Amino acid sequence: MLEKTQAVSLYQTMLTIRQFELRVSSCFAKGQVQGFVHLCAGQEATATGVCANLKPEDYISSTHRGHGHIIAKGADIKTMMAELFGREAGYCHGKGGSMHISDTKIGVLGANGIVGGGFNLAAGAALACKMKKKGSIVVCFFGDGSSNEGSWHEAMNIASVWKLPILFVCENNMYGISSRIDKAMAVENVSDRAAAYAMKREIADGNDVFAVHRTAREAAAYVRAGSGPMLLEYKTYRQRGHFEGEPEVYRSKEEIQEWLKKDPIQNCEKVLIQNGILTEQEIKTIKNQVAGIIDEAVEYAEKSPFPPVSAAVKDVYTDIVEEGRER
Amino acid sequence: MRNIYLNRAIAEAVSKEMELDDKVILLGEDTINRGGGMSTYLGVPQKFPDRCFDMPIAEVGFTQFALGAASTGFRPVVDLMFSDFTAVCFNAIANDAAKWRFNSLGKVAAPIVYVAANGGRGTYDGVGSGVNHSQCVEAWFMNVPGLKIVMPYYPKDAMGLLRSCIRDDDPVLFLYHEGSLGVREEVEDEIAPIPLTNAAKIMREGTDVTIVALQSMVPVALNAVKELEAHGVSAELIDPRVIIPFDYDKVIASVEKTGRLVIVEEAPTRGSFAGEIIRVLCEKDPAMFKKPVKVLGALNSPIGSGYSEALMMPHKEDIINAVEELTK
Repeated sequence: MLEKTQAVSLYQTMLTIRQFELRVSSCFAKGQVQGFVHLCAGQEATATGVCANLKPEDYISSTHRGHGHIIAKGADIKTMMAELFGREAGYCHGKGGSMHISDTKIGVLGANGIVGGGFNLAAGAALACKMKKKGSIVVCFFGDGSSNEGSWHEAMNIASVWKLPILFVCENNMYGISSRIDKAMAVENVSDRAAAYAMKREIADGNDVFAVHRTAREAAAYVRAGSGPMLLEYKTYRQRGHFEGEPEVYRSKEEIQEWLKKDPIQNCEKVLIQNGILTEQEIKTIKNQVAGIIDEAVEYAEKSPFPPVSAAVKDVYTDIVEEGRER
Repeated sequence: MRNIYLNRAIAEAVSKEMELDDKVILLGEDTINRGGGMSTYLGVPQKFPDRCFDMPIAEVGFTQFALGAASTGFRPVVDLMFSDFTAVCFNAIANDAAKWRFNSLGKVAAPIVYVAANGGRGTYDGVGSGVNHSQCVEAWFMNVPGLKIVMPYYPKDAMGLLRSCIRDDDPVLFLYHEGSLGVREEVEDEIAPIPLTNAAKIMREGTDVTIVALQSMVPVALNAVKELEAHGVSAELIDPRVIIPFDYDKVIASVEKTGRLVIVEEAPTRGSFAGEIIRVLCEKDPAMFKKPVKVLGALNSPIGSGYSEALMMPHKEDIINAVEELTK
């Protein structure tokens, strides 16, 4: 078992992600958040357990379902919420939206709206880490569905051939949009494919944050030592649809119910109470604190103005200013 | 002074910039083993063995890979061999690199140069490489804000412009012309970087008609201009050299003088470079045109292989006919 501070910190991060996602969902339903929103509720343990083993100077690449990764790597909740609200105070003045939050100051190379877009980006950053020789590593988060993209093969191959300091982290939630994994790949586990790249792999329960934390700690140490890349596969489940507003007709109620019983946050709470790390009252207090942080973020987002017309052509080029529009 | 081929110009530009900035790296297929698919990096890997990388034949991967390295402090030069192959890795260029500044509020640049051979091998003397190795792809990318596009024809221009591309913080598509690999030019020992802004070059001054010729069409138009001169027609020839950012000032000044415009390009004309130039000029002031504009480009057909390439291409005679029609 982890020491108290660390265990509580994992719990708080997971809770922050969950409450962020659920609030985004309700704000989306009210029309305050626009664009496509892919939530990771149910998958909080993977982002949290992995990122807890990273240093600020380590990098992550994320996906369209990226809020959790970015929060776990230390992004500012208010700035994220403002971005989703399309406001000027957002990470990208509200122009990037849910799928394009990046912050290299904290090592976030960016979420990506293209499935499979992050693999080689991460591998390239891993080459940079190797060349700089400062001991940084890169974590490439991806889902089971994207491992069918050709770009996955290209990244796994080069990472292995060049022994790059990269940790591929598969969040296997069993569905690529609506397609169940067994309809999209002939192997049982995504990581069965690691053999093709002579890459070390490990499979663990992605809804057990402590198991994720332990396996990721060992894997990160292996990668950091210069032993080459590694593939971690975490079995998990997304509790919501592929995107908010999706007509979810492809998963049975029984299946969803079964996975809700394996909820990573409730799991974590049980372990914390059983081990005498937190009391139910303390858990309640933490929940209220996190809710306060999310309330503040929403308030902050709502108060920020929408970007002005002049923002449309900002940051397109370094030295060319495209013609704008006056209104 | 010395005589150099275009491949030497590219190698020298990359080598010089690698010498000046240790963040410049070279990625591509065959770069180490044989100095690049078109021998455009001969000697470079020997000089900078730690910064040149032979990539697996995986364009989707290594183009995105370059963006990862660029996001974390390096300045990659990515060789894609033929510009046609950019279609394989369009995502990394158009969906990501071009948007990197925008998506990060200008905090993360993507200083990448994609180097590729564009267009037909022989322009129209019959050694075309067909539909997957001889296309002009600039128009595919013109509609992607965030990218710069540089298209030199002559070795000296290629060297000076490529040096600027490598120093630029934006992603640049550096399309040299496949047919210009055999072009030799007398150059000074050291060629300074040529700025990408205001880059159009007036190749020939004239008063009756303005001809804007792109890349391989510059030498073709130059021959046409000489013949036209013998017929008493004074044509002004402009080589844009860079199409984003485009040097509108020189073209507009020229058309305001001549009142007649012919644009010659090697790409199919539908949705092409020429259309965009005309749009901007018409929006500015259609009164600058005394006559309708003429556009000569490839036919709206896939480009033919071998001798059939010439069937699609604009020829010198087509330029002369177009000019004579406007000036009669």
